[in-house]
Amino acid sequence: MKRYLAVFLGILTAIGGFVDIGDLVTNAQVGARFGMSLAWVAPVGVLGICVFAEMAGRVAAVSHRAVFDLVRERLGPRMGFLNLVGSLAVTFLTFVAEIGGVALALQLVTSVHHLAWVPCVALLVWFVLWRAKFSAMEDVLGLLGLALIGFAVALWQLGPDWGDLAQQALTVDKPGPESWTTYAYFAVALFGAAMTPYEVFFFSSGGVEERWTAKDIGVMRVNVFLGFPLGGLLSLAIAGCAAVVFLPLGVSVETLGQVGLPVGLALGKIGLAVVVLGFVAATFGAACETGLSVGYSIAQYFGFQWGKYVRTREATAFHAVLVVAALLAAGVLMTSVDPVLVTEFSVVFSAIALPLTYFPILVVANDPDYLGEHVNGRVANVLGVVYLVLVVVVSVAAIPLMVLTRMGTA
Amino acid sequence: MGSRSSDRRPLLGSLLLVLALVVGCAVSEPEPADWSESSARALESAASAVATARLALSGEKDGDLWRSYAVVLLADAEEAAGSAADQVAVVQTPRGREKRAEQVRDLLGRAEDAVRAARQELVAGKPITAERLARLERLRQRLLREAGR
Repeated sequence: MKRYLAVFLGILTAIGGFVDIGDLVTNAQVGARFGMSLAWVAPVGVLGICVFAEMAGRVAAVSHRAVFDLVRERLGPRMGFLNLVGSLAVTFLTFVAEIGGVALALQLVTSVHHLAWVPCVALLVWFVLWRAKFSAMEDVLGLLGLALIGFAVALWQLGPDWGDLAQQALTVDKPGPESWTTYAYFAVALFGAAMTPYEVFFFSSGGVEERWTAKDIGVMRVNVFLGFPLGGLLSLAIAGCAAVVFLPLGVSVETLGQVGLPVGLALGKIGLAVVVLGFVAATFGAACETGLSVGYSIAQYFGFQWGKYVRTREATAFHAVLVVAALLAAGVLMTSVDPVLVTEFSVVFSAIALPLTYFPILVVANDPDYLGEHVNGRVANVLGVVYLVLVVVVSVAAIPLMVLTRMGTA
Repeated sequence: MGSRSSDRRPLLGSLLLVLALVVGCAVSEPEPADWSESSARALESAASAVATARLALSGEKDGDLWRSYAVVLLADAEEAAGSAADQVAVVQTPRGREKRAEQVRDLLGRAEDAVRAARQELVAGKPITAERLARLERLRQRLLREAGR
């Protein structure tokens, strides 16, 4: 019974923890501009993250070592460093966006400008990373993130023409005024938001923190293959709400307040309060995950002692990185840069950095020295290679599309 | 051969300097088609801001949004409408489009004023009237029509 409860809790936290500021903003923007015509990107992205998260989780469970730890050892310091720089830059950018996201969510509740919240949020994130237990942090924030199910309820309450939504989703087409390059740009952004590199680092490092063994592979797979797709459905619900309320009016989504507006209109103040709680939990949870991922990746590459399961004084360099990352993130946001703009950059740069993250995972997951009998099977390798080709194409296309469409504004 | 090439260097340098000065000092004037596209985008952005303001006011009127949420939405919409107006104001108008530019600037100014007035009334606690909502809707439709959408 206890085991089933653990599996159930794992699935729920995977659902609640799937959506972050990138998913919130990008899905709402896409829904408002393209309706459900880019809905096909969600399953493609979710399957991709499932494939590589399963590999990374398996590596952690069998080798008891996290991805970066093995990348440097298996592919050498140069490749490891390239991997570190690319992934770290994107993860830090995402960390900045998440802290900004929490501040924006608090602004919605209090009317106090988000810049006033930024130092408090950064301090609180650092405090949680320093003091809170790993499992408590993951479970509490993941479960609170489930409040975003409010989007699915709101979509149902808005009473859309389901046939029309389904037709939009099944037809690869774009609304008349939009260009195909803009369509492709937003497809890349959605893909980047779904396959954010930090999710895999956090997942594999988390496996080491929670001391997974080969016996945990089954539970890990259930969490990944059920939790992530259900989290992906939340992304579709966010896009659906924006498509129903904003698309007919020609509204473009540029703020977090607009993302939640359809829920308020459909469910009233209580529904809106639930979803704003979801905003805070999802962005705060993702801020913790990205903050830890920054610390994990640096510590694992340079061989420092790391993790929340070791005492602070035994992992001083790791904790120092967390402090510096929180200070830097707050500093970036205090320049008054728009957190939504940072989010837009972070999802596109995620797409650019994808091959740097996923190629090494595929290599390590095929190495019998680390995984023994648990190396990739045929299905995992076929999917891994197909997705590797896809992420390379997406990565190469991202910058030209960003320039051509002026970040989707053209 | 070498001395002839070095003789030409000052001349070439002067030509490049003149070219750089001419290009650098000339007021850049967008092509009429680019200007039209840019002003259409600004009108669309303003329409989006006005529509957001109307939704926020309507949600507050029906008791679906709490006050602080609606105020933040309106403040953001006001900023977006202001940015849309700036987008056109900073671009040189192409010859022959002066009248059209005046119309666009006037309409964008009206959008910004309408959203600002809506925010000020909400903050002041004045009741949201159906007439206010209808005016915002008419303005949104006009902006989109002028944008050619």
